[in-house]
Amino acid sequence: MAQAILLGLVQLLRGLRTTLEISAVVLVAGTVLGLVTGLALEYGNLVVRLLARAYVDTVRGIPVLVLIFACYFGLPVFGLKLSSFQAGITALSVFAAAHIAEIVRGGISSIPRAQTDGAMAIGLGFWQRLRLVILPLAIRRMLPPWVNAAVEIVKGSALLSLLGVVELLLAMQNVVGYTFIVLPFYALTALLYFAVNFTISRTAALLERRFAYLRY
Amino acid sequence: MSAYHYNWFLAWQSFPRFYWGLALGLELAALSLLIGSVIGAFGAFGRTFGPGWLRAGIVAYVEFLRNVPLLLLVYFAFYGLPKAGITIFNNVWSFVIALSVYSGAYLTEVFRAGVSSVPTAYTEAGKAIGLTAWQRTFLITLPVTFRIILPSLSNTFISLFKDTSLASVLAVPELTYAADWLNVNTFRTIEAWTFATVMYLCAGYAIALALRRIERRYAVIR
Amino acid sequence: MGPILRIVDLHKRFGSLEVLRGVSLDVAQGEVVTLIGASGSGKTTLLRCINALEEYQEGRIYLGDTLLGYRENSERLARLPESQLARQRADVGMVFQSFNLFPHITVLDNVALGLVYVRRRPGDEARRIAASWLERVGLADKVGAYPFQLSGGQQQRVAIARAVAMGPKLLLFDEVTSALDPELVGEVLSVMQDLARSGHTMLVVSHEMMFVREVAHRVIFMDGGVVAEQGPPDQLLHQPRTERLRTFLGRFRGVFGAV
Repeated sequence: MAQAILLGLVQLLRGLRTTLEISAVVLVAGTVLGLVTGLALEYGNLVVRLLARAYVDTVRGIPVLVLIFACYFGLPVFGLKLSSFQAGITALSVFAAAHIAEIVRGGISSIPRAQTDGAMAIGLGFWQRLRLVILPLAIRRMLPPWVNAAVEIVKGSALLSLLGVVELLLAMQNVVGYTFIVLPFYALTALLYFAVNFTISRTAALLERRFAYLRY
Repeated sequence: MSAYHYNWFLAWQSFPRFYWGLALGLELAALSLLIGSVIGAFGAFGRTFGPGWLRAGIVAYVEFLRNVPLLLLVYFAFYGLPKAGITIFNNVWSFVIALSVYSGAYLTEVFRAGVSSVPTAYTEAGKAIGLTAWQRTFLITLPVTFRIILPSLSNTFISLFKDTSLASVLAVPELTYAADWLNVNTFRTIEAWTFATVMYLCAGYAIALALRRIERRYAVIR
Repeated sequence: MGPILRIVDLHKRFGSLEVLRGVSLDVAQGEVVTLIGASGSGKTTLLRCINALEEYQEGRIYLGDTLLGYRENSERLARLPESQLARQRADVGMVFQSFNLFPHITVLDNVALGLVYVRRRPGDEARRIAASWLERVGLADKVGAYPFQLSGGQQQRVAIARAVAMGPKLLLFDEVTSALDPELVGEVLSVMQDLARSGHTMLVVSHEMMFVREVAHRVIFMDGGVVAEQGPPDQLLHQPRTERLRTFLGRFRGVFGAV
């Protein structure tokens, strides 16, 4: 019995590692894609803005589960043979990017026009303004919602269990399945998710305090 | 695009399934919002006015629920509760419980923000005409709080509606389940998920419009 | 040597509202010109057109021999691309009413930023130049501070240092003391006076009539989107020719002492 429990714990930890892997990849991919899309939403010409808007509004308007299933079942039809892991990560990244795009757009548009004026007045070009003034200021505003997005990503990774990806939730289900010890493992799994997300939020709160001197 | 044959008619035949799935999803969301709001209101008041241990308990509840995946809660409600000796609920009610408790955590924060942003001017005016604390709460604080948090409630409702898609894992016949059913039984993947996407988008848009109109009617006039 | 700034028949509309209705003026090298006029007369808009923060519909603006903001396409004007506008803006310094300092970097870096990224000076040299300008405006001891740690007057002096450190051909001042508490106005005006005496070419929008009388070489009165009157301060302020200027100055009765 004790052996089964130990084995169960190991499997849970393996699942946790997969969860963290998924979350890290999705966060990076989603942030990069989200940053590009956010810039497109704010600075693009009419066509670019409309396309970005259509993408963001569509993806944010459907449940993430629908997006995951659509990618998993739908992409092979278009010739893209992806494993469940890849399809799941693709779907989650697309979802995350749509949210992060809104965060980026909101952050940039909250920078007072006065800052852009000041940067223009000393002769900085568009990309210089973005790099030296707008983004540094906007990032501080974008940090809290971005961290929320990170937590949502970790929670969203649990949905990949429905595709058969053995992350923490599916690992838990497997372990419960063969040990028949239900409540303790449920509790432990919940605790692990909580620990991961709580750490992310706390780290962010610390970072926020470090940049709190900014007032504009 | 090898040998995929589109058959929109076949998909269209199953439209009732999608339609009733959408209706069920809305019902689930509305029910969860209601129960969650009751939890949230009590939680907010407990957090603001309660004794130390109650405040700590509510904070723990909120922080815990916000950091744990909804799917875990859904499984727990359906598979875990019976093991803890709690009466076995059917799949629909298990889901409603899970979603209500989940939304209760978010709504506690929403209500808390609403309560604390009621201008003291109003409660002081209430004191000035001799209202008791309970009267002030029910006649002034709660109605004003409700109007202040209306936009947040609307957004929460739309989120909950999207979260109802998770009910499909318990085979609750809502919209996502309908799409999944169509996909698995007829292999019309594209049609199935397109239907689901379009219906979620339209429903979401319609709900948002309706809620904006309600908001405008009840908007707080400062 | 021709005028540093030449504005020819400038027209600017915001939608259906025509704010500038044919403004023409010159500023010679080393001249300090003040723009006065009621709010809505187009003074700020004019400044913003000069350093291409705003577009305009008709007219020309020349900095020396260079046409600013646009390219001549037979008779029509084509807006220059952003990168070229940026280069032109480097030669026109602007100080804003709300300072517009960058809050996330120190005062020294605020002044040095343009020198490094636009004038392409190496970091050390840029910081040296920046430090010497900060000393010139009386803030040598504040080089490591952040904008929020300084008073309004100090921040505005940093903003002036930032603009003039770029070595522009022309300095624009947009009501730079209007947002300051009264006791801080003096320190900013004395910096501007110092710059004027050193021979900088300055176009100043201001309500500070004392400054106008003491420092300006020429005063331009704008009304209804055009130049209504211009001349030396003594003449303009004490012997206004037009009725509109008389009405405008009437509001300042008592400020000049013997008017």
